[in-house]
Amino acid sequence: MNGEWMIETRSVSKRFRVAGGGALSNKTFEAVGGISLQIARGETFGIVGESGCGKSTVARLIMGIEKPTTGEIWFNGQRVDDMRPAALRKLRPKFQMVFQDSASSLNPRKTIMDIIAQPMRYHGVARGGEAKRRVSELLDMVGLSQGMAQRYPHELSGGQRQRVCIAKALSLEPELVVLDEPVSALDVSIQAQILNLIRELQARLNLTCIFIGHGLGAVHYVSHRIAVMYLGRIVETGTSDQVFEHPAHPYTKALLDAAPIPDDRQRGRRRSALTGEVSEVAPTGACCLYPRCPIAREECLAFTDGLKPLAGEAGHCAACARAWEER
Amino acid sequence: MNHSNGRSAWQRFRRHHVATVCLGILAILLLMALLAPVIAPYSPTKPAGTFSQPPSREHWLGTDKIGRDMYSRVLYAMRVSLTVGFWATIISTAIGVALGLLSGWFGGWVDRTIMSFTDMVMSFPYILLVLVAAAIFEPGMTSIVLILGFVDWPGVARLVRGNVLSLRETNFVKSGVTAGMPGAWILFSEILPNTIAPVLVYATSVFALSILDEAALSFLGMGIQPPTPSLGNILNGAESLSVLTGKPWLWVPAGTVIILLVVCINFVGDALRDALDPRNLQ
Repeated sequence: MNGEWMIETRSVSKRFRVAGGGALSNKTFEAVGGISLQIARGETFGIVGESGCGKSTVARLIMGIEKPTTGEIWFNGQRVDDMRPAALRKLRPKFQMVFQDSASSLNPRKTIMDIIAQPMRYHGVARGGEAKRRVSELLDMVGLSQGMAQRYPHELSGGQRQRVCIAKALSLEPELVVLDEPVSALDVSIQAQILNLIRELQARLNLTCIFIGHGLGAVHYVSHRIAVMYLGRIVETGTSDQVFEHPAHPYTKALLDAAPIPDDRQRGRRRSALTGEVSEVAPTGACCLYPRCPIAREECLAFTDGLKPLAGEAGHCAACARAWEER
Repeated sequence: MNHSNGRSAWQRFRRHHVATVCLGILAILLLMALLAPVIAPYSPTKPAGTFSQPPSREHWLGTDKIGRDMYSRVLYAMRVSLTVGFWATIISTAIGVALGLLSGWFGGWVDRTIMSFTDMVMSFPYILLVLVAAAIFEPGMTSIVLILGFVDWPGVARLVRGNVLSLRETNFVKSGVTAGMPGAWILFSEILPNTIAPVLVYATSVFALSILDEAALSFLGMGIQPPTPSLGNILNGAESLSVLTGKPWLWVPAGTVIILLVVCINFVGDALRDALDPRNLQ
């Protein structure tokens, strides 16, 4: 319909059958509930939320590893979620993924050279000696020495492996790269290096990136725009600075306040803590944060509106009735 | 596997001292079996001296009850047993790998059909199945190989299926999918090479088992038919109590060879398991 978005999801939801419910059980669990995202060409879009909020499922839905239960996914003005497998396979090089666990992302029986070169050869991005040269270029681009090409994955460190994964994702010259918690499994000192690499490559290659993470600092650092997810829904979205400097949704506030404060002078800052556990499911029709929200009122029990723009802040949306009032 | 990978695998293998010794013993036995026509002093099927002679300078392991040289017979019997074991292992591993790959990769009804067939074959009384098959087909080397080959595959099939199922969930297989690689490529270039090590290890135990089964079958008279010697039918000649107690040279060598083969193959298999895992660093 419109081609200005690189990737667009339209009320996408995903339900999984609950395991252990027996063969005839129809019990399902909603991992993602009606998410609509628009991501523009050349931007890095961050998705942040705690473990189990469905952010990785969103990544897998966009990558076409999972099929949405309802909703549509559009890539470059083309609907991809109902595409025939053969047609989708042709399109796949255009969107690539970097996984969290770099150790299982690389075939232990292949050299780094083969891992990166084989898909390029198959898709005809580069052939023969050209592919070898291209691998050298890519290794150079992600800051690895040429000698790495002949190594096996287990001979590399975690940070080096993640660099290889990034090189591999870039090898097919994609337009979109989905990074699913690419630094969560790494040492803190290595995390910064990888984040810098992602930022630098994104700008240099004018890539569109989706960066998924639970570390707020990391997501803020690399992303232009951010969506905050809670229990399979987006509760707040806006530019990186809007969300971080003027959080509107009580969940976002709690998430920001929960981060450790390195600055001693700010230690006295008010902390808005959530009560209870994620497992507390809201009553039907209520706001998903209702059981845990510090500012919940009776009207929140009947909350059906989704994201709404906040007054005076272009592009900043939140799904909270009280936030709308406050601004 | 490239050169350096192969070398480090060998280094890891060498750390298992028992297995290294076993590999040496296996190599010697294999060489003796291969060179049987050259090193055997007499024909394995024709009488070469007085019957039931104890070991002597002319007949190192004595002679049997019709005067055949036991040393020559054991050499040729090793040839037969190793051949049967080898081909039975090749056949059952090929069937098992093929069915396991299909089952794990396609899932759904393909998986259910193959796996229930596998369970059926597995739950069948093994020796009875072999006996019935041996009764239907004419006994001989080819039929023994085929029978054992078609009976030993379920273990391999289940092993491979389990491996494929877990490999399908790994990120490198998923990233093969997201890179738009064809299914056949993912199956044969990403999944299959990662199942070869466990299959190879399992195959060694199938090999040992096939040698035992051949011996058992021949011992029961359903296997390799005399006068062709096999380790099993040599033991068959030692059924009576007087032979067991009075003429140990008729059965001790063949029995020892069976034990050596089976024990050594199993030890080598165990060491192979560690040696083939590239994640086992020094």
